[in-house]
Amino acid sequence: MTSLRPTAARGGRRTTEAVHDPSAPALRIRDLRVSYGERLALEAITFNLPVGARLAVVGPNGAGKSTLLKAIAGIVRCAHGSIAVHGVVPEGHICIAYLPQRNDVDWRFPVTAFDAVMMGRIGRLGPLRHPKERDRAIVREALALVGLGDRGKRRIGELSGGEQQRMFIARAIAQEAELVLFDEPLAGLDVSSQNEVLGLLAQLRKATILVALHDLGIAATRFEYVLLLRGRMLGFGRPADVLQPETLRQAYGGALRMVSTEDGVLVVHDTACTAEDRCP
Amino acid sequence: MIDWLIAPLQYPFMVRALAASVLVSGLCAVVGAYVVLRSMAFLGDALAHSVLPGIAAGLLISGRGDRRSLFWWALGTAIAVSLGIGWIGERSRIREDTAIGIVFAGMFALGVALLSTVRGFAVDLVHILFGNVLGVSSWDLAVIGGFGAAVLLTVILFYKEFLLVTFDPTLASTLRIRASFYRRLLLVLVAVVVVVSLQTVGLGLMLAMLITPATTAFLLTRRLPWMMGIGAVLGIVSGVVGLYLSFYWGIASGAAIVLVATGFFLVALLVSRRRDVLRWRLKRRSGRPVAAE
Repeated sequence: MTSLRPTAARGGRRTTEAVHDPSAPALRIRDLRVSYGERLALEAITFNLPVGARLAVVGPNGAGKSTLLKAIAGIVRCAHGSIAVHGVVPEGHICIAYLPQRNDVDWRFPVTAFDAVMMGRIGRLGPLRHPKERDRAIVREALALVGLGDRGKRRIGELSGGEQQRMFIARAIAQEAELVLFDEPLAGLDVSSQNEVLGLLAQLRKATILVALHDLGIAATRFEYVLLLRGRMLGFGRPADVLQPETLRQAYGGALRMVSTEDGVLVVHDTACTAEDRCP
Repeated sequence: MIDWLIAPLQYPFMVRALAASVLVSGLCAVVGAYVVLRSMAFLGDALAHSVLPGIAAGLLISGRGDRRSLFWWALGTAIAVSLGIGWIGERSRIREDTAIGIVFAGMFALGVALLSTVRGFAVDLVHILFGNVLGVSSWDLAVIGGFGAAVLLTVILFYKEFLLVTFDPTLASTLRIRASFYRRLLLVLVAVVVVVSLQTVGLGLMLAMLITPATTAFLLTRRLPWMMGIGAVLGIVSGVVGLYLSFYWGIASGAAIVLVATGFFLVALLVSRRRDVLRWRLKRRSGRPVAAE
């Protein structure tokens, strides 16, 4: 199943580029456990995700959403279990894009939006190669696709929050990513910027997309699949099947308020914090 | 005015000093850009000070006259310390800045202890701490030039990898770029620059050469290549102006260079603050969202 074939990269250095297994699901996770030193961050995760699917990863703060995405990206090592991306361990891929939380980025860094998107090309360039005209064309195209065609020369810190998230999407496009892991892209954005970002995700037709989210309403209405987390997997499947009162109560505990309406539909008010957290 | 400018150039030691200052200042600013952006200022300072026991050992073993072997001692120590610090930071439970502090202070103490056994150590220590740019020999110049060229070439060859590792280590690992290798290479580059610059500004003021012109340029530009270029120009101008001040006013040359660089920084700080406030007001007036910082 695992086919890691060493290929001679341009420039002479050997790199390992994973060869995708077309019959494998985009993502196959079996009994995953991740811990940071002694502290267990995540366990008992098992699911398959078909190619091209859109999955919302939801759960309270500290539920392990970022950890799961980082494990899938191959940045965080799993203590137990297995992850296969297109049939191959994550470490072999350069087609996985992890788009960080906005707070994790140094926005004062002296690079333009164009430079930042170009960074997505570095994995394809190989060592000792500098970007060619083709790479620049790909970057320009990616920027135009996310509506930042005129923002390329702006310093990244001068972009608005929504523009910064769209820049990350452009970077994933330039990277030719087939699996996009998006960590809390909607945090701190106003509703119209949120809709822009969600609209762009819908445009990434070929890629499989995982998005860590706080908003259960968006997860339920805009995604095909939902994964509910709280240190362990509480549910995976279609939103209507996963977002049930009992499982939600397990995830959010007392912080969750539910209202029964006349047609029996539950309206969920998500405060996005666990009972133990200090809620504002 | 022309006479004023030409007069110092009649002395060969001044010409060599000027050449050394120009090379070292430019080099420091380019590598210093990474030091500033990776918030490694403390590390740069620590590296400079950790060279002391190497120099002391060189003095004890080869004697004061053999300046060339002193250089190799210093270089070996600096590279060993830079790799050691990187290793501690990655492996240990101790916070990186704490680890650096312990290594730095311990190495410096070792250096002073070794030096104190050498006769007339006060003079040596002053030269090591504050540099002796007027004593630069042609051999020193050749070493600065050679190693400087090698450092610049490395920065150019691995520009995109260094940029990626500095800006977004997470992206580096998803693109399967060996971040720890490039981080260490960067540390080695800083170590080399520190050692070749030693003669010009000394251990004590090394940090200023690394971060002051680079930070001044950071305030003025929006792209890394420009930050490096403008930083180098500012560093070179500081070096030349500082040496002239030193020549005519009899100020210690390293201190004069650093003071000029600091002056540039203060001016840039004022200019950029005014510019930012202006930009912010313009944005607010036009109703566009204020950029997130």
